[in-house]
Amino acid sequence: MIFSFLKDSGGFFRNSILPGFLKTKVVFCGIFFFSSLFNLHGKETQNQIDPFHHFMLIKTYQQEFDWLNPWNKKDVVTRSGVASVVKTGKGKLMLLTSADLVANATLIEARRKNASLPSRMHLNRIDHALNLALLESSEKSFFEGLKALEWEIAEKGEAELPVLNPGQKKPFQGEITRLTVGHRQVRDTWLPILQLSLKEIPPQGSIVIQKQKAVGMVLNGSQGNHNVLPLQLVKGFLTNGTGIEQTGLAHRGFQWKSFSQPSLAGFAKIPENLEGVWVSRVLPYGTGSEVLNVGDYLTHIGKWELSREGQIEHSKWGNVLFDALFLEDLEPGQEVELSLYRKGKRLKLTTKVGIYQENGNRVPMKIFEKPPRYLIRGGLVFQELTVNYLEVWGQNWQNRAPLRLRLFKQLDRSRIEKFSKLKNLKNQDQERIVILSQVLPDAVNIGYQELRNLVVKRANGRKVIHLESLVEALKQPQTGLHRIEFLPGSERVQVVLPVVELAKADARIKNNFQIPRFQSL
Amino acid sequence: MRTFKSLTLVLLLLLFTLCEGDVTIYAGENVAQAVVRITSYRQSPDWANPWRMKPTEAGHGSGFLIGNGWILTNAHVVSDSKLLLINKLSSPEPYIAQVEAMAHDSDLALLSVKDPEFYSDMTALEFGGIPKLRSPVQAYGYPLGGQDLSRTEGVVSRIEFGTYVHPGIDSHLLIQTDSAINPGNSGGPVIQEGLAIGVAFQSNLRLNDIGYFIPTPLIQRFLQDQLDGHYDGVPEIGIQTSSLLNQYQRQSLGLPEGAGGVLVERIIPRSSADGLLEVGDVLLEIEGKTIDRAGMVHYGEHRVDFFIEAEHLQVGDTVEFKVWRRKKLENLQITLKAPPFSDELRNTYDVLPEYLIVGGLVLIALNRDYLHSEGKQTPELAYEHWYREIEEPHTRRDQVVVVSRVLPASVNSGYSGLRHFVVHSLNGQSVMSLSHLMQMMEKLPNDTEFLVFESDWEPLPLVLDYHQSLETHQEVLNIYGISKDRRFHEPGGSEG
Repeated sequence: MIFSFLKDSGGFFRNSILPGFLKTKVVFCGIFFFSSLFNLHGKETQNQIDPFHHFMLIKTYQQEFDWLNPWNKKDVVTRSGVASVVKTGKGKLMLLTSADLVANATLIEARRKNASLPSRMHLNRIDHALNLALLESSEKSFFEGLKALEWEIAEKGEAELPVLNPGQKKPFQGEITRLTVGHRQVRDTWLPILQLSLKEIPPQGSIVIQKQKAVGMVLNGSQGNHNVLPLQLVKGFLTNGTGIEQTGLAHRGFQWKSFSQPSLAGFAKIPENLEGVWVSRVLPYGTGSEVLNVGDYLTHIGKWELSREGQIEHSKWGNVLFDALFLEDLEPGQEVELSLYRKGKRLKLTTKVGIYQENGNRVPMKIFEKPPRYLIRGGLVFQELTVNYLEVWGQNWQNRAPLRLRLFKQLDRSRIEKFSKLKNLKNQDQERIVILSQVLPDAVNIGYQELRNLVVKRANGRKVIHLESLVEALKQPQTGLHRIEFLPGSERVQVVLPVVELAKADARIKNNFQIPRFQSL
Repeated sequence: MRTFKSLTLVLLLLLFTLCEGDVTIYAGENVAQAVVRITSYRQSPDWANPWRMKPTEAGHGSGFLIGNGWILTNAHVVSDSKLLLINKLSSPEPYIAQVEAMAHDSDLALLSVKDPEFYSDMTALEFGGIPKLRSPVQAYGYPLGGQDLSRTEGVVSRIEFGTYVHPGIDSHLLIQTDSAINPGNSGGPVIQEGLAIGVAFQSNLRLNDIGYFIPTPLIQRFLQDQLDGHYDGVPEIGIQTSSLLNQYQRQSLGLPEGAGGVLVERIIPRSSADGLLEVGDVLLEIEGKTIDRAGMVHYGEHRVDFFIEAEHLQVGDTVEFKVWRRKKLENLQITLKAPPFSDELRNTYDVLPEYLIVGGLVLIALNRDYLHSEGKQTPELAYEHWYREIEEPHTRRDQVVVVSRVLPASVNSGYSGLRHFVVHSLNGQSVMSLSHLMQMMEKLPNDTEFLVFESDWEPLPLVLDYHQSLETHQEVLNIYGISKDRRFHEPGGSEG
């Protein structure tokens, strides 16, 4: 049986604003011969871990939802990678791998050493912000003979990666060179990341070993340089994670700019040559979000002094972006003092280290595992605008998707700024952009069949802020006709549908287009 | 609505991109002697560096002699031209030509030649009307810029409203033919039975043998318009309409059984229809012609968009409508105006960019040309250009002022990488246009410490030391080889 690792890593740093070496997409190839793989009997020596005690190959069958036709699913895609045996916070053995590898999986198979058949694994928890997933088995004996990895905090220096490949009996040899900060596009998280120098291209989920201990998990990279999620983040996931997207990830609560304009500093009455960063946006979550204002000039986080480039002098890793503090120096809930200048006055504000949350966006971050929400009435297909929907236009959707739709996503950051200080943030969180994505042609909607991607503003005189509000509005027609209004400038500004005839038309359309359900909320 | 129709076809202006031509046939003497080859040496402005021009380039097109010693061609053949040369049939002798009138909105231009020798042995072509579908036509011109006149034959395939690529946002009547119309044919006549029935001007890259020509009603309107020495442009009604093909929508409007018409969904501010038509009106007739539920009227043997009825009219002419308003019939008369949208929405030609340089900041007024320059279409600029006026009309400004780039200098230290900063206010006052900004700066009191430019899109202001910007102004200009710190077209702003 041949496994080919031919898929990318899921875009950990895709399109990030980081330097090129952090943005590289990995395409790794390797051929693993399972038949011979299980005939190997490595012994764990003092200098070398037996990979078959701790690691195994997994094969996943992933099936994404069809966001264009939200009642359908797409074709199955097969991917492979590595999982490692870990002990969770409750002492249970499970397999650890990357979230990208198992997202939207319909079947996950793991093959143990000496097993003739693969074992079905079940997703226990997954975190797309960290790109981590835990798998468990319903077979009682699955973990017999397997050992959980021991973990240790990484240091600069030599590292190795055990290889599950009969043609490569020695582990790959590499070197951890530094700690940096990476951006995870699908969740807008900034994570401390280890840089691994390694000439080979290991599969996703591979574990990096230093002195017989695991120190991190390979996420992606290119030949020569790889991004490794450090132990501390893995450990937090193993101990704190309780289900889907329960990250508990300590995170900054603001965006910043490294402006070094003397004129701006003079205008803001900041002492000349004072190092620090401008707070350019306050996020609705994270460290400092409760106390910082846009325009604050942040000079210190705790005892650490910020440079104009947002770097701190770390005792272990040297100059690194301040987000690295959230690896082990600052933990969620811990009090921290922020030193800053505001309107010419020096301030010291105490806050608590906050965690990452996904909210404040009208167009939500990429959705995994959950089916698209939609509503069909009179052949008109309504959806909420999502990144998944925009990706119907491909990975280059930022240039190819309909301009008005993509602007909602691309300009959403400005809106976060505008609303981040509002107390009714929870209500704002739920607000979405409802679109008429397409029309299933029928006698009831003649004249509307060509309509696509129109933004719904009102229905029956009521404001539409999400699909639920549209459903409610359609329950309360003001006349014998439903009236749905779209954003000004749309190809058509309004449509009407008959109230009485709608049920009959819906039944006809459902049968004609083989739609299993007319709404999914 | 014409103004907001998206460009769905990949259309190609035929002037510069040269392709392999069809079989070349020498035309009959009467038509052939009236068709000329035009060589244009053009130079367009560099929108990224608005004080300078791009390198000169040469292009070839065609034209033909009509009455009054005029040569008719396409506007895109002669736009931004610095020197126009015309060659007669089989003659190596070039004649210098001048532009007499230009209609960028309908891609037409009139040229003349001062040398009377040019007109010897030439007879002007006469115009025909709208051809019948599937009737034969011949396209004359100089494809590939070659020395020999080419004639290709085909039939009329379709008559419809469509986008004119040259202005970018205007839609007018155009005629589709399968006669090969290749680059270099632009401006050449399309002939039927010895009469000019149109001017070849664009083709469709995605389809085989699809060429388009401008029909005579639009040409005649242009010729009439420019007679007083000033071109007013094709008037616009200024509305967005939608079809009423859906029976329930007709029912919701209380329309009588069997009625046609289209629904008015938006009135463009300051347009011909502003204050006369209303959102929710149903237009039943225009100039006595019934408008059907798809918005079409009979036009000879064809059915075309009802806007055709304003197509041949001039600014100041009136159009009669029969309107269904609040379930009653009304007759309305609308006096036509030029399009209400500003020039910044169209492609710009023969106009140099406005700009202002302050403290090394290059400030420009956002327009279509700037937005379509490589790398300029940021989400913020796209929203400002296309959507703000429609979605937030109360926040509209006369121009969107943008810091397009920064000329690095000590006065703007730290801002050298800044691009596309939309300026909404200066020192707390709203900026309505580039010239308004300049006037505001001229009135700043002496004790002003900082220039604080703020943007709705940016959380932090752009701040310059005011006095330092004045003191270093000339030095910055000298360093970057810029002779003038500003260019304005409006009376309010003088060229410095």
